Amino acid sequence: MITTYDVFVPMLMGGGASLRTGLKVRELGCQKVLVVYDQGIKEVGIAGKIEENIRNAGVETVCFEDVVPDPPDKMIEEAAEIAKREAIDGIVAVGGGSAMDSAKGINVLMNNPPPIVSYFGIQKNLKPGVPMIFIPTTSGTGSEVTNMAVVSATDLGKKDSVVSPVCLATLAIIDPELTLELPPKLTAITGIDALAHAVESLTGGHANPMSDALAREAIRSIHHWLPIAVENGGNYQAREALMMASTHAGMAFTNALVHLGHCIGHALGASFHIPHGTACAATLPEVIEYAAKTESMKVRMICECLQKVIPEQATTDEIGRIGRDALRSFIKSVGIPNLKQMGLTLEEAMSVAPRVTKDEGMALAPYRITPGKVAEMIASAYDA
Amino acid sequence: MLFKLVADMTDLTVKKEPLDEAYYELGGRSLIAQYLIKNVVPTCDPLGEGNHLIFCTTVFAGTKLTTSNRMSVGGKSPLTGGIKESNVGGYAASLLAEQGIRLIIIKGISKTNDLWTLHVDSKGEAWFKEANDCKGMNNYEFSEQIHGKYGSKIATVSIGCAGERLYKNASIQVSEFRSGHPSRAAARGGLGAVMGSKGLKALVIEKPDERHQLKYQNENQFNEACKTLNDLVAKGVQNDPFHNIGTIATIEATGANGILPVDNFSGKLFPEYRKVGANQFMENLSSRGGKNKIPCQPGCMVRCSNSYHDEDGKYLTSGFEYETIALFGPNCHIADLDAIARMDRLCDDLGVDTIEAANTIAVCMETGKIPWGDSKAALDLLNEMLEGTDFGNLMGQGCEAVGNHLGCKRIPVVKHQSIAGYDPRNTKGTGITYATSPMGADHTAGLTMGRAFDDCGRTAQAYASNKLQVAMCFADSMMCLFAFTHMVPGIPLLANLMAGLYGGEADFNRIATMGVKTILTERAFNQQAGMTIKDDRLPDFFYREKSPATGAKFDIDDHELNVIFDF
Repeated sequence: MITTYDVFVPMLMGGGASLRTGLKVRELGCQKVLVVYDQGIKEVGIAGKIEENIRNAGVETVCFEDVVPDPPDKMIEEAAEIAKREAIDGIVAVGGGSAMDSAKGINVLMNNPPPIVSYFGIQKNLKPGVPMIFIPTTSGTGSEVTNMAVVSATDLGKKDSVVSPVCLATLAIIDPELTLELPPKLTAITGIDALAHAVESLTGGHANPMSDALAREAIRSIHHWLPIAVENGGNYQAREALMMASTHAGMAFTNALVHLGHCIGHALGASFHIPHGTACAATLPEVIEYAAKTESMKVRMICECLQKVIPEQATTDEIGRIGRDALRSFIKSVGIPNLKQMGLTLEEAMSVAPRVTKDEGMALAPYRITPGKVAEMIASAYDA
Repeated sequence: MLFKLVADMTDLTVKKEPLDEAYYELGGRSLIAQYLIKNVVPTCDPLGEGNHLIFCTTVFAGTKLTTSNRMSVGGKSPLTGGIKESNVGGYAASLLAEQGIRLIIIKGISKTNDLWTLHVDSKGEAWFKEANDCKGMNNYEFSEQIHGKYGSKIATVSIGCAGERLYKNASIQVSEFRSGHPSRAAARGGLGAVMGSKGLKALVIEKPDERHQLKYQNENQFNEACKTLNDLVAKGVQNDPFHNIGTIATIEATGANGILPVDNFSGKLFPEYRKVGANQFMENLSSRGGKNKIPCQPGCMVRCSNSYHDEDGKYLTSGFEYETIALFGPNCHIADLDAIARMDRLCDDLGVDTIEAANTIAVCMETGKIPWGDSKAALDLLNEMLEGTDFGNLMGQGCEAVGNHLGCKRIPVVKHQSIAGYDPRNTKGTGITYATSPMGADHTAGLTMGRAFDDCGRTAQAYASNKLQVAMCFADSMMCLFAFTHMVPGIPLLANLMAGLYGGEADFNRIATMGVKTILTERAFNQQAGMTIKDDRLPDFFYREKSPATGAKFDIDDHELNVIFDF
């Protein structure tokens, strides 16, 4: 098979790398940047430190500190108004997926008229924005290396993505020290989000050898280090490994894209406001079991990364079952709740199935699946 | 009230009856599927008395919706052995709509060797006329004769000698609006042979003295949606190469990227593709008095048809299309547009599918029966079909029969029907459509080119094929797909058309369900006829051989094909 591989975003990586933000912003020729983050990042003092670092480099800052989870279109449009009014010439995003998605949305609107929802889908002809630097503070989303901005469309009642080069960071600064304070629960949820990216990247129809390599390394690393980081958040080595893993998983899915697990995750998230990582993890084992039908070699790779031995002569169904059980036992081991533990009834959980198969993300699934089969997968995962 | 004609060739009776209530909200491909599953035993001999030949108009025939007067022809296919709907432009469906006739059913087989025409006259009466003097007559002569006799306000739906000889590649030719040329073909699947088996030479449909008035449940609702949709088409065609040039413009895209078939689907590029491309075509039109932007039916805004003249400025052919040009051209290593136009004319005249015939020629070249690129030898072979030589008769059985006879290892067919003008390795979604469509290899069932990430890649190809196959099912039930393409942003309004005309809720599920139900019904028919999942595969060579143009093989997993119609 012939594939293409894209590396979009240059990276600066290492403990303390965020202290170079000011230098890098200045190198990019920026004189006044918008710093985008949420209240949580402000409260732990990360935002203030980075802002100061930028100002010390002689660059002015304007803050947008009101990022909320699942960034809504209206919020992004307000922030873009501020950015334009202040005539900023660069954006620095500090935080998780929400801060980076917001920054991407703002950048789209710098030179393209609102509303942001009019740019959902793959956009090839948007006018460029300003240079952006992304500084992730969780090890999950991988958004710092992707070209997609996930936006909640308030009036349409759905989440969708703008996919464009305008959403790409000019530089990603990966500083594992920023994640040392991340609480165990959030560490687990974001880590499992990265795992979902890697696992679905491997099994999607758009996978290529490079994305496979990155995804495999991410799975291995998460399997080894996530339980350690959940147990002891201050373990720098674990934090560094997880940061690399989430970035690698982000690079993998930027190329290979995600599929059914994320469609189920999005439908559960939209219906019951479950955190993204948890929602994607809920049926990930069943998704792998399903994928094994056509992607058994990839499921073998996943099992190998999870240190699970699959007999040479195993059938695709057996490979699927082994993969499912291995993933489930790992996800449970870091304390991620199942759908029942999240407080959903079985009926509620299964009710999202028709919404899942209508999701355009299903285009990327290994093969077609009916709402009935998706409901069966949800039922299998419900109390598992 | 709408009507149906039920004609029985056994006793030469024809009855005009009210259309069944259940068929009102069906037309074209959807009506044919539902009719055939109920009335034709899937295991029947397609050329025997148990098969029915169906002509019908669309759900919106007779309305102002542009291109809604398209005709579908159906029956069990002698070529594929499965269900067949073959749709066609031309004037006939407009006149049937004016007559208030949605459906014509031809049953039974003539007991004698006589040949008949079925007339629908200006009074709305339907009757058989003996046509033994037309035996062996080909479509152009027949159409001229009938137009000479009945004037220009008629349409013919006829077979040439190929249909009479029961060639499995035989088409049914419909006359074009205004010119009357029998150049619009219900080409695929050998329905011309079914017509021939029944002893029916032609339908002759006159314009009625009094035009049938459709009864709308809510005419304003219909008109409002219809205007929006027609406006979308009017706007869309302005930048549509099919309107500005013709379907030949497709060569400019496919020739550059390995989708254009070359040398019997070798997967190579053809450096001279522009010699049979849009510029050469337009130059030939303007220098010889030909014309494009011709509507094949009244009220068409796309107007993709054309009139192509020879070097002496004399009419040669019309409805000269991409498929014909790609398959007789680069796929036979021929870069001579005039030679291809002569082949097109010959095929229309004797009444055979150009796709099937051109693939047959390519297989003859592949096996060395005639040299690659020899347009004279190709024309000579086509003439053998006209003359009815032994080899000509074999060619009439289709590409697969000839390929097997000549020992060809690379026979490009699915469900025994030849592949259209797109290499399935380099537009894989189209390959999935070829493999899985109940119609056999048919690009009009869902041509995915440019709709997934990478035409040569696997990603999202089955998804695109599935979506398009469903959409084409309802498009083929209501209009011409070239106009339908421009309506895509207004697709939900199709529900308003349905509600405005037939009443009930303006619920898009009525439309979508029509598509899904049609495909599932067609598959059920094929299964009962004996087809299995193994019939849903491309020929082996597409899986084995890399396309030299792109390096791509057809690498779609079997399971992905197996579940494509799991709804």
